[in-house]
Amino acid sequence: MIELGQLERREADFARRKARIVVSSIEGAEEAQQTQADFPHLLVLSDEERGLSNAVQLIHPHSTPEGGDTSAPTTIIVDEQGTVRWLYRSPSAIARLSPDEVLEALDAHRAR
Amino acid sequence: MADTPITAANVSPSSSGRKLVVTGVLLALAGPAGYAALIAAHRLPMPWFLPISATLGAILIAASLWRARRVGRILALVVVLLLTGFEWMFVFATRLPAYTGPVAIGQPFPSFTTTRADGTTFTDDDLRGGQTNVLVFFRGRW
Repeated sequence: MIELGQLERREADFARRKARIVVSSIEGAEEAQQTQADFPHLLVLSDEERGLSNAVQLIHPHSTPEGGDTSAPTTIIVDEQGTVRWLYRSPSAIARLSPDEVLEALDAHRAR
Repeated sequence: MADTPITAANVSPSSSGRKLVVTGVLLALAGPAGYAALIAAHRLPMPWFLPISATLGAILIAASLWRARRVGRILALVVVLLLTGFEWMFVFATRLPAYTGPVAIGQPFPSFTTTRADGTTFTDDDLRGGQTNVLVFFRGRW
């Protein structure tokens, strides 16, 4: 889990900007608990019931090698009032933002 | 006997073609090697360079065949073309459609209810408070 590992390592940089990292996938509770144990500085959501993924329409159907659904890799910045400030949808299932790119977006939002 | 000066006119087509083959194969291999290095460095960009470098490699090998037909060059071209085709398929097959959902910049985040890893409830109300939230939707083990 390269993406989450990178975010975990840079968590202090996010905390300095008063930003919390919330990571979500449609994996079940057991996998989510393991993910939480692996990345203790991230808030891990188990969206197995898809309450969040369906609300934001981020399910990528039939996209796993086995034909199952997954979340489309996406990063969203939500400010303290719950307003969306930035959205990045990866152009590819295999491409991810680096923490530096997310921090850059955070700083751009804070500068406004 | 006077030395014959080396000019473009007396370099054999096969020796100059060999350089094209070697460069072509190296270009084709550079893509996967570079991608492996990026993954090792924990960087996950969109790897357009993979099929592009393989395509350039195939063009160079094809150019070497134009100069002199050799079985080895034909085999190299077939292998590099297969690699090129696979890499274009890989890049296009993993593309995602543009986002068309309800999340919009400047608008409130949609209402939702989901679950934390510890089993407790997490809703859109939990996004409001003293901090900015960076929501990351991830998949698989990538």
